[in-house]
Amino acid sequence: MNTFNVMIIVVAIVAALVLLFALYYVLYKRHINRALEPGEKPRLRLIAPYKLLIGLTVFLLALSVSLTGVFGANMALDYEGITKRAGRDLASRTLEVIDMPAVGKNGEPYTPPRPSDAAEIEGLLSTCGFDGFEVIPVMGISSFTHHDYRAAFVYGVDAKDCALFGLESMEDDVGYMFEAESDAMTLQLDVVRAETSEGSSGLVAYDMVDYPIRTQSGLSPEGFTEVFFESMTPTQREDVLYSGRPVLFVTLPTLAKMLAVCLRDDLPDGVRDVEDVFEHPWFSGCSMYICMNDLMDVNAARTALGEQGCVTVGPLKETTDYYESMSLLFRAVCAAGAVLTCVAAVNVFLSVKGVSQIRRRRKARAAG
Amino acid sequence: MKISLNVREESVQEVTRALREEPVEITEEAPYILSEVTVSSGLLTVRDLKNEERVLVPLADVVQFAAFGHTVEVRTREKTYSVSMPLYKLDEMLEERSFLRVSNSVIVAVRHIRQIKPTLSMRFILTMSDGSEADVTRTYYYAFKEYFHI
Repeated sequence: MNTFNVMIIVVAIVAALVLLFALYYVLYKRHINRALEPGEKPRLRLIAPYKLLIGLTVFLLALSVSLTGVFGANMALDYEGITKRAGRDLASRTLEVIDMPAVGKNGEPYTPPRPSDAAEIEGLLSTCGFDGFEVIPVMGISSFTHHDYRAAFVYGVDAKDCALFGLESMEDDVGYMFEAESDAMTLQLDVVRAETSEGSSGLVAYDMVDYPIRTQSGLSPEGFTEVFFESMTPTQREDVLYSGRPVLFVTLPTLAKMLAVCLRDDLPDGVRDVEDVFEHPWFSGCSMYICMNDLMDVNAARTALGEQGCVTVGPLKETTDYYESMSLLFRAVCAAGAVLTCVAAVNVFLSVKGVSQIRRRRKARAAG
Repeated sequence: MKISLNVREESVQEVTRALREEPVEITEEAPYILSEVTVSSGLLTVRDLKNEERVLVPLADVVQFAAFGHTVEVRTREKTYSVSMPLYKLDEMLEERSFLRVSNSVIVAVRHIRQIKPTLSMRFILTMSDGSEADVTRTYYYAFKEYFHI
């Protein structure tokens, strides 16, 4: 059941209850006004609307609490594509992600630090950002031994500028350069299929700053510039080597730029979500590498870190809006419930007081 | 001066005692009548708000009594008068079946209620025959319901 359906159901339930209450109110009004007609005496005593309101309030409160506690959380988790909700998972997944053994071009093996204490990690995250975990300067890697990560790119400085990087129509030996301007910066990323001297191949994304454009063709309607690389120098291609499944490598600054243009409207058709990219045929079987850097804040990391090291990231801005809207909805329902409860409580108190007053009067009359 | 008394029997002695010191003779054949504000005759002595004249108003015409400080207004469909009597005394004197106290400051004539509007709190809003509205407050809520069996 998706979010929209659940919200529709919630709204429908509330609307139905309000409608029923309005109907009852009209009926009750007619009923009591019958007493004014000569010779007419109401046979039944209907429940007063305010009493019904008390019941309705309690029901709505229970409903909102259960929705918030059960459906709300589940929906939120579904939305992120994760199944665990423990906050401490941030630490462990951070470890998983950063714990990628790599070998530098100089032949030195790279082993990222592995803090043992989750709290310590969180402290580091909050105080030092990801400086301590900016473990892999991508362009410095000559071999990459972990290919099981499926990652997305997150740039958490300004969620508004986060966007999705989409690639389409990639052909062998041809790279497309996608350009998308954001408020903050411009992404220029060219992607080629690189082959190593050993014959392995992989998809390589290069920062345009680092690699010259040799050929450039026209603009696409979406505002993307497609730049074809007819050829690349062997050195450039061999800068990044792949073995096994292809891995998308980009430099850290490029990652930041890629992520900085997420959620833009001028994405290629059919690519509107990070998950769309993952599901795109062009990426099938492709592992991606996540680079965390100091641009990534803790919340972004928490969002990014998924189950079993797989990182599936929804557009941050949308996610934020989603949570805000859901949160606002439930807060509104809860606030309305709280107000109604207060009214109901006052009513109950006063009705009890009213009954006791009537009893006192009766007693006084009986006493003479 | 000769006056005639139009008061309840239990009040005759008290009024006579009060008038004994005055140069007044109490007789049935007097040109003036000292009348008690009472419902026994179905009339109520009230004061016209404009010219301060005393007027006898049929109780059947009274829509509601409303207290404002020390003043009690007597509202009929045509006019508003005042009466110099506390509301609680009026409440005691008026017939229970014809008038109903609905709040600390209002007594309404049952026959002049045109509509009862329930609210979402413990109150009713009454629309009277003269178009005015009166609130049934929480204190009188159950008494009102009991009266109408609603």
